[in-house]
Amino acid sequence: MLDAALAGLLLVVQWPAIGYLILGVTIGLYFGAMPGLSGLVGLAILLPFTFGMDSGSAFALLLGMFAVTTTSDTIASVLLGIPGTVSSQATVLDGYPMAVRGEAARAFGAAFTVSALGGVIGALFLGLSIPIVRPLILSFASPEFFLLGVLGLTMVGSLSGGSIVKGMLAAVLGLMLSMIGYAEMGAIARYHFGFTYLLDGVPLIPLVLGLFAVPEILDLAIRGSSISRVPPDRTRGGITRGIRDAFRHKWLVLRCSAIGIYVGMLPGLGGAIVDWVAYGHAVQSAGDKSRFGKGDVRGVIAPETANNAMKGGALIPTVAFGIPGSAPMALILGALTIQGLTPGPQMLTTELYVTFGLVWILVIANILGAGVLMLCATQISRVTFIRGHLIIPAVVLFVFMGAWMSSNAIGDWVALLVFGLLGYLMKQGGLPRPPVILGFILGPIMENALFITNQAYGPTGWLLRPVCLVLVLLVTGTLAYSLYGRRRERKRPASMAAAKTEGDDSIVSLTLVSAITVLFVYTTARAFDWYIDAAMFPIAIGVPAIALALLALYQDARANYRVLSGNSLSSAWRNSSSTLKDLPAVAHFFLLMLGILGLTMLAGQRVALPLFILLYLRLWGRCGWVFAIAYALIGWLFLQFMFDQVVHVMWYPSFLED
Amino acid sequence: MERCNAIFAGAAGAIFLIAGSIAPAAAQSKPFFEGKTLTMVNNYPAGGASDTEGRIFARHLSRHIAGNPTIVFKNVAGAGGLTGFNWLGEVAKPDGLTASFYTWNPLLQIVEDPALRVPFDKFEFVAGLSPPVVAFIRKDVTPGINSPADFLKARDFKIAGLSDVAVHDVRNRLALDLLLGPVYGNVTGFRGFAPMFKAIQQNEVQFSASSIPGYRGKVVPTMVETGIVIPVFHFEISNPDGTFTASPDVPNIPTYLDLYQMKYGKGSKPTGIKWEALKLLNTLYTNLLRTVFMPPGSPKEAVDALDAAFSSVVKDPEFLAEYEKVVKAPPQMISGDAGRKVIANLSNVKPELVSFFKQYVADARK
Repeated sequence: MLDAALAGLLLVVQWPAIGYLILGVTIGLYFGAMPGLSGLVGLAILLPFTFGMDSGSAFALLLGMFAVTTTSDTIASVLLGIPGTVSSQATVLDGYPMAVRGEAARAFGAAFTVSALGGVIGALFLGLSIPIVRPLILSFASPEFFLLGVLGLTMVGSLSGGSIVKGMLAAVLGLMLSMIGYAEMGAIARYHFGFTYLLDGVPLIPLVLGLFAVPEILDLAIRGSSISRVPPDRTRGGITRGIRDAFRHKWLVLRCSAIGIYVGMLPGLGGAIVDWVAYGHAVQSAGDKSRFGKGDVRGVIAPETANNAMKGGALIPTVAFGIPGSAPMALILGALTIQGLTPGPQMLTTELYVTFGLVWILVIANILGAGVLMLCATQISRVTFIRGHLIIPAVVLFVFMGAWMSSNAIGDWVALLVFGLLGYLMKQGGLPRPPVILGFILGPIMENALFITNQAYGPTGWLLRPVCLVLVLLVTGTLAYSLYGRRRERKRPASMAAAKTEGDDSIVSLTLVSAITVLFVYTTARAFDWYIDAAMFPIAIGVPAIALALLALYQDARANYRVLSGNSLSSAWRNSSSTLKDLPAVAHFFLLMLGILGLTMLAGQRVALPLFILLYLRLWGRCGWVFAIAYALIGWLFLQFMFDQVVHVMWYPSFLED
Repeated sequence: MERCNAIFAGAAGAIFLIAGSIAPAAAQSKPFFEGKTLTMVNNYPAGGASDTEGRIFARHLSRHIAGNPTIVFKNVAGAGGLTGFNWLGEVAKPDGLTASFYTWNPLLQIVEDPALRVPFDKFEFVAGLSPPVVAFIRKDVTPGINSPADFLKARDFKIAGLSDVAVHDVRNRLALDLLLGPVYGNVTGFRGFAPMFKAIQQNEVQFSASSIPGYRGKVVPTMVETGIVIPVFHFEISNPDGTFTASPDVPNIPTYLDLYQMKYGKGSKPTGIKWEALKLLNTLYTNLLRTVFMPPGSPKEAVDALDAAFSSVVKDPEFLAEYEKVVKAPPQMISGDAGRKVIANLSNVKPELVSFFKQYVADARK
């Protein structure tokens, strides 16, 4: 074993493998930081280059890249409130409020430290545990996966936002969105309303970027100020404070590493929920929970530890059993195949040194990645003090191109803007957005698991499986604990002012919840026209969805009744609705976005996006011509180099090009 | 003067005539793909078996294509591989610069599934691959399976499937119906072979089948060598004359008909509509698992050049070394003409077979 460990280390540190590792880490930091790009995109781009490479170099490049994307994804989550990858959604809840409070550097210090620690612990666990985890992995079959999905949704629904009912409603909305397009269980196209683009379902990246990025960009543009609402001379604590926070909460780091490893081991589900399970644990195990969701550093530490530790855990089923649990793991499996390696017992015997090589790559990459980011963290955090108008053009470029990478279709941008509008309204109305994403990701997994469970085990017998019983108890316990926690919080006197990042416009909320209720009634009724395979999940979800929606409607109606009492409708609206005040600016901004769409159809992205940069800086940012033109030129060069030459994106065939 | 003009005019005309005949010839001698980029597309996500195979071809193919084009490999995945076909048929330009490396599902066309928007026989077929498919089952299935002969007594097990209309699933069900009768249950919905293999290890399902790359690459090391499953038969190659041939790549595994004759007597063969259906699917799917198509209307010159390149690359030692290292078996190439004959079966399916397939697929949904 020691020989294999040393041989594995040699495999990685000798030239050229170490060079590829450094290259992979550099690429991974970039891909994790850019919203819309991800480890999966990076792996797909790099995989073909590994043909003909030796094993050490190939995995140093691939795994070195993949290991650090969940370290650098913190940047967008903290600075912009946009999840850098889907594994850093929970980080937004507390990371972004910290940035608004001027504590971005502290958030980075904590996040990068625990990312390195979590990644190293996850890697070491990979090396030590493969021989013994097989029973654990194999004990999670389809019934357990379905209930894990329910648990994940319950946790995120009850943890994010101010209302458990609205949180669960948002989660169910995500489940419903996941059912758009062809049902995998049968050749029925569901809820596509005649649009060909929707036959393949709603793509994830435009959904995430629309819900998170567009409202934050809008908010920055309308406020016109910097991300931080606190000037730099009044901020408290920088990177070193964040690093001290990480070590002060060392037991939380250890526990969340364990969560990341064990949940990450579960093929198919781990990556989607690991940050939420860790976040939920941090909340539930904390004495003082009052600051979670308002900028508690533990709300950053927990998910950032877990989503790096998860990488080691996720490799276990891939390497040891040939079971890839996610799309990135399928690519890693492909890389193993390309190298002539066979996942399974061989990786624990004749090829054990390769397995240890993977462990060492994770260790070195996590330390290297965190170290590089730590050196830049102070500079990166200063972005929060830059005037928002100067950041927005770059963010818009990344967001639009990130969305385009989904299917290289104009529908991606339409989806981005539609969900952007939905995200904006949800933010104004106080409906949490993270549960929508988790519901969307878990929907196909849960539907698939339920479908197979019903065939393989019958309609109810599976509930008596031991692990299923434990999971049912956990779901019930999570809900009960959250309800109890909310009651206690309402009795607690108001504490210090928190960074307000979500709205509470009750009229917008009422309107949105009403629309969602109508939607749920329609989607459930429509499902009765389909045969059972395609209808089972929509109906199973639809009935509780309608109940939840009606409950949320009742809550909102009561809240608005209090507002309306003693006021006329119009004055109540004017008084309570900040949304109305911002409406002209919002409309103006969305028109600009639509302008990007229109100009792309006419002249292509490489004209439309730089032109947007130029116009935005001149009209909104009031910048000089020289600066605006230079910025636009840099944007054009970036499109040419990164997206055309490196990523080989398929550009829109514009009218003028045709 | 007039004579000079006439001579001049005649000479000019001759020059133009000669130039006119030389110019097209010069243009024709330039290979179609010279200075161009060929985009090869796979209809599953990157990293899977067909994607990996396709990328190996893409790395070596350019040397064998006249004109040596640059080859770019992309993925257009979704809907069980169907998105790729619809994209190839409706979006990709028929300019000879796009070719697929797809796993296809001919059953979609037979049952006239509306999800398939361009019939397979409308595409320009270039080449195909036909790796053998091996069926395997857990050893602990009643009454205990320790040899292929024991499989003939198997009962009360579940087979793993992708979907009711997947040719892989329907072929397995037909084969088992004819061999064993209704002794099994059907569990579909698995999103690929990796989840199926995991489910077999968990005893959630007990039977499946896989092509050689998946069988040798994943099933053998994780389940055969660990004693969980045993291979029971492989689907034979259907010859144009209606005979069947065992695959030379799996000499130690009996064919489906070997097992049938073990049970019903030497020389016996299945009969009836299910047998006709199984023969058709076997012809279409065993002979042509991976398919290289071009969009409908692509130039013949491009199709022929690519067909020749595929026939040439499978003899390239450098390509073969890499392919066999990864896929663990040599490539079984099907040329353009042979493949077109296979695909032509899609245009001639008897109405009673179409009705049978539609009903068989619908019955699986009940």
